[in-house]
Amino acid sequence: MPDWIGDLNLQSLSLVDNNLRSLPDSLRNLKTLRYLSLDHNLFPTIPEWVCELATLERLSIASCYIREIPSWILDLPRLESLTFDGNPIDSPPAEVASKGLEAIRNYWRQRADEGVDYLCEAKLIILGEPGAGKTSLARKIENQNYNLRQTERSTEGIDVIRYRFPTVIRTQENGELKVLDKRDFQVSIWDFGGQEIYHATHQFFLTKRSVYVLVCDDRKEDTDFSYWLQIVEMLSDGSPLLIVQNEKQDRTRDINLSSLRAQFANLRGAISTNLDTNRGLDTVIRTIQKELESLPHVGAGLPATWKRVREALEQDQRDYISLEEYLNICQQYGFTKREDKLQLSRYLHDLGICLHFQDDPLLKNTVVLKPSWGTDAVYRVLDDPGVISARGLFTRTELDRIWSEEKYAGMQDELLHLMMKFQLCYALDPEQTFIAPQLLSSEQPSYSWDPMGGLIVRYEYSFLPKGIITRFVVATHHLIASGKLVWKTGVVLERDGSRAEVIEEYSQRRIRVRVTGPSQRELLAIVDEHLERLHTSFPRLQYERYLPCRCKECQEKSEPYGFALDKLLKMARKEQEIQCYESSEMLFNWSMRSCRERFKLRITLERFKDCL
Amino acid sequence: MAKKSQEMPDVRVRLATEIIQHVRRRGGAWLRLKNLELTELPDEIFTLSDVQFIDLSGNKLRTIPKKLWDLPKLREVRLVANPIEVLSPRSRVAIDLGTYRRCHTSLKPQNINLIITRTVSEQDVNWWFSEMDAIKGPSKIIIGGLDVGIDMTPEEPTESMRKILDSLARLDFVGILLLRGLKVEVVPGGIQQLSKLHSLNLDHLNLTNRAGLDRRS
Repeated sequence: MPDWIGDLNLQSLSLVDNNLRSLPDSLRNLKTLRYLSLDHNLFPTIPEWVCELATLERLSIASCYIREIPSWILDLPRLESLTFDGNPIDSPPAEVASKGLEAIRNYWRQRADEGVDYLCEAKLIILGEPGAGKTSLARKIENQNYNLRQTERSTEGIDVIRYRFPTVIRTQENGELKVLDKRDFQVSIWDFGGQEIYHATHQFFLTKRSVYVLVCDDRKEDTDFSYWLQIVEMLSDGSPLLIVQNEKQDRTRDINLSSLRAQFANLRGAISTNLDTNRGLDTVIRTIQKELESLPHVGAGLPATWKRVREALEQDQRDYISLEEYLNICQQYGFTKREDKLQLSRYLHDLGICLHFQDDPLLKNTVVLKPSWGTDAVYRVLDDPGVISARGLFTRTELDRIWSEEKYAGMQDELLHLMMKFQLCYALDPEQTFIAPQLLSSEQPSYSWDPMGGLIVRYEYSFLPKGIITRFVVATHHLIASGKLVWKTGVVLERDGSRAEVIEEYSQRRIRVRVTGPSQRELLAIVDEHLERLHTSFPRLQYERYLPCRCKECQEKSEPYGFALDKLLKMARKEQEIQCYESSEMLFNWSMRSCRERFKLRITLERFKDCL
Repeated sequence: MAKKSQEMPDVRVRLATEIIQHVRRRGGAWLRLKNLELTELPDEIFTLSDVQFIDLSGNKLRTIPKKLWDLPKLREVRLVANPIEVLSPRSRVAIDLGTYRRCHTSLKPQNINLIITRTVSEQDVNWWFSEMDAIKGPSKIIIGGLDVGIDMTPEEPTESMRKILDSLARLDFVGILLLRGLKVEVVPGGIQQLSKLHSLNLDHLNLTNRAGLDRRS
């Protein structure tokens, strides 16, 4: 990049998609620049001279390698828009940065006003099949001398245990390295019940920036490593995972660690321990501590007021407090602006430290300080024998019984709302009876289906997380055909005389959709939109949409060959030949067709694409 | 007006009409009707009150009805690779050099976005260089690929493009200059001479910081 670019009288400069690491300092002379776009380059930092561009209104630096949006962003008075997605930002903390320019400015302003303190806490999440020894491990981390009872009761829901250890952390900001010693590292150990029923809620608790431990019992061979590793990798944004092999009766099971490590970059290793004799326990604890200390958010600078409020909330013994009480606590510790207080609660929510759904008209009035208070209440419903035997159907009267304890008093509406927020149940009219679809019968009810002229799409997943279909049912429950064509793994929806059948085939890792009727395109569009919305809650989900082949051979088969929709459309746009890979039948030989037919196929496909 | 093509013109017009209706329903800002061999525009197009950009590249249009410019939000119509013969002075268009050569007298320089791709002909370039000091236009020029993305490799410029790149200093009337998706190892030095330039876009060029490539002596 030549120096003379700085001499030009530019208002707009775009250098998208080059291989630039730096730019000449002379660019600080662009005193009239309003728009600067540096996306898709190799910049390790935002070039420092940008802070001198007082006229800058829009800055875009997406998909580079920048870690920090520096405090000098406050010195750009006219900046209206800052785009930086696709960068590994950790300062301000990602949860703050992702809220956009105003949140970033707020953060730096509060740091400048109130001073800074450093974050030194994290979640340790323990997973595994029921009975693998998760709770025993959690207790032994907290206290090595903990006396394991012979018959440890199975954990229902989630237990959270607080644990501290002394630490020294290093932090780097504005190119400066700081060593912070004599600190306590605060850990919340999340001990999950292993039961299948809880899997549907994983996406709310398998948080980013946590350390994961997968406990497996060496006597049993039931641990589905691949499921656990995939779900953690997908939801935790690359957080480290350790396998802890719990040796009972001194047996060791071989796991193919090198093959698992090749597949899962976040797998740190496997350690064996015997929780009865404490053999190997020291190594397990030391390794976990090291992983906790190396998490990227550890040592992140926060406005000192945030840290003080965080500590006050931690000390608070209450399960939940009202929004007013929360705001008062913030005020007490030096906050003045309401928006700053709400920014902090949003941050704590995103970190999984407390639950505060600010966008929900009912739940916004409550800050749940102990998330396990909420999740336990939710799981009590799903674990309730009465609800289970009623195939997921329950009433308000039953909720009053299930949530009769003092700690839930007066909060039934909020808890029910929380269940709906987690897409675990929906209301049948008139808001008195509810259904938790994952407890529905697995038997598909009988109904007739007209196979003629309908639309068929298959969603195939490289990994299908549990709970998508039940959440889909909750999201679309107002369309369920006759209010009852729904079962544990599928549903039939009805709208304007058209019907859509949506069925999950878990072992095949796919969801099948058939739609038929006069407004089938609109209905398919609705189904696709709801599925897409669920897909986005799994950040790294990989899937493809397939259309069934209609060649003679495939029409007779129950499993016709599937064309990936995106590829099919690409081929059609380029008028490439389309052939069934199973029967080798040439479905569309462009050169043989008239112009009318070519356009017809293209219209059909484009239309189909439109409704997806 | 040319006679409509004999081979199934209705299918293309119908596809175009469907696309227009679709864009209208969605209130879309973009309308793309590329490579449909259209000889005239379907009437539905005049009802698009939200559309801002229309791409009509690769059709067989000889002109654009004046009333298209009545669309309230329309900002630009892209007309690359059409046998355009005449354009109204109200036109705000993106056109290739051949069309520019045929129509420039009736167009305002600030309303033209000149697009120079690999298909630019030597004759048109020669014509432009012989006339440009007199025409002093247009004020917005794109050189390179139109549909380039971040996963594409920059293309080698053709001889004719190279000739323009080497003489950029002569374009001292240009306000907005975009070089896109081309293999150029250094930022062309001629840009330094462009006194009216206020917007410079050097996207998808593979520019690097490697020493030696940064400066031209």
